[in-house]
Amino acid sequence: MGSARFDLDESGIRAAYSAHAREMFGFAVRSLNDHGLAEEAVQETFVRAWRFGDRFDPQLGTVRAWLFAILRHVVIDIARARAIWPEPTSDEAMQRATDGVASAEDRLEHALLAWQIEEALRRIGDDHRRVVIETYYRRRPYAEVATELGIPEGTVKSRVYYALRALRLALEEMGWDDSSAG
Amino acid sequence: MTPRPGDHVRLLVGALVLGHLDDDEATAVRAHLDGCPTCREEAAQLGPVAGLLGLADPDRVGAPAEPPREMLDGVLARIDRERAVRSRTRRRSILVRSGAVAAAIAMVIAVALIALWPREPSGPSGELVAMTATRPGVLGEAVIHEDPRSTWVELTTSGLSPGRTYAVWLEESSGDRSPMGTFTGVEGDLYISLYSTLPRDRAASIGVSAPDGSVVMEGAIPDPVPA
Repeated sequence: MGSARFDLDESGIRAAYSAHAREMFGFAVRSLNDHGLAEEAVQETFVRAWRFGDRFDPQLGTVRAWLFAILRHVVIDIARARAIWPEPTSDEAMQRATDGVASAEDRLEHALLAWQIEEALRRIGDDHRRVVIETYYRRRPYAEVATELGIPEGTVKSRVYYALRALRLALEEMGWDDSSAG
Repeated sequence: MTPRPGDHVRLLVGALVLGHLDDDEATAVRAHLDGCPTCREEAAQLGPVAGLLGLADPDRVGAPAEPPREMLDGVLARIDRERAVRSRTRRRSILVRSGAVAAAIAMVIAVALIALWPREPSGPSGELVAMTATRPGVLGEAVIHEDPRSTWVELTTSGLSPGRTYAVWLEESSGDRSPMGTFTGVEGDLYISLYSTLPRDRAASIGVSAPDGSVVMEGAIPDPVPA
């Protein structure tokens, strides 16, 4: 997905925007919980990318990873300037954040991970997403889900397996690396 | 495709790492993992993914937020503005250097140039504020943007000491300062963008301070033009 270089002319900006802006906006909305601030964050990110485009080194990572690294800083700047916190994730994430050091950066990291998982869930197939939502998030028994979907219970289990594999792949495509996930 | 031995167990690894198997099934699958490196590796791959699921909010998985159509126009317009600011700063910088006059005289010329430089109209493109430097060789200008939710400033400087940390602030007429952030000086021109929650109409001046607190440059912000 990431292109190898970052062109500083208008067509280069347009190409990078076309490839990544939707995803960046989704993350910014998830983090700041405000569409106006998210728009501001994405615009600022592209301006900074243009400003420092000559420092982009394709040997070190993709344009996408570079843009997201800038976006994280911009979101932190905006959150600090406006004394807002990134939007809390689930109860579990909130608990983790309050158990440990709940700095803006920590919460932003949680927001980024939460957004990546939500984005990964959007990217996998409908059948796979459905079984994860029903069995994990809604805590419904496999037998009940199987009856509702008209498939054997064993098929629900195998779909859960393939769903997790697809999620892992989607997360890796977004730059997630479990060696740094803690 | 012919199922391989252990395939039926491998397909249970997802439910295992989610903690969804009953005790008997979980024990059987774990016993299989003990002797099957392939399935063990599978569990090692899927376990971290299962551990992350709790961070997500399933209600947000529906339609993703779509960026507004005009967002790209905003990006391109801001880049055009920054390009214009850079170009002006470069021209001014060249003028000062090519004079080959004493540093004090150069500073006077620079300050005069900044003071005489035509004002940009306020509005979406922002308002240009000339910065008066207290040190020779230092130049700066700021573009102040008014936003319903904040004030944001584009600051362009040159001549500051590389590696030193500088603080940017807005000052109210009462003398209260609102910090906007810090930056590190570099060789050549430096452009930064900062935000403040202080409304534009309360900001009387913008300034940059050195680590010892001394003011390096400062500029008066004109009263806002009524809409």
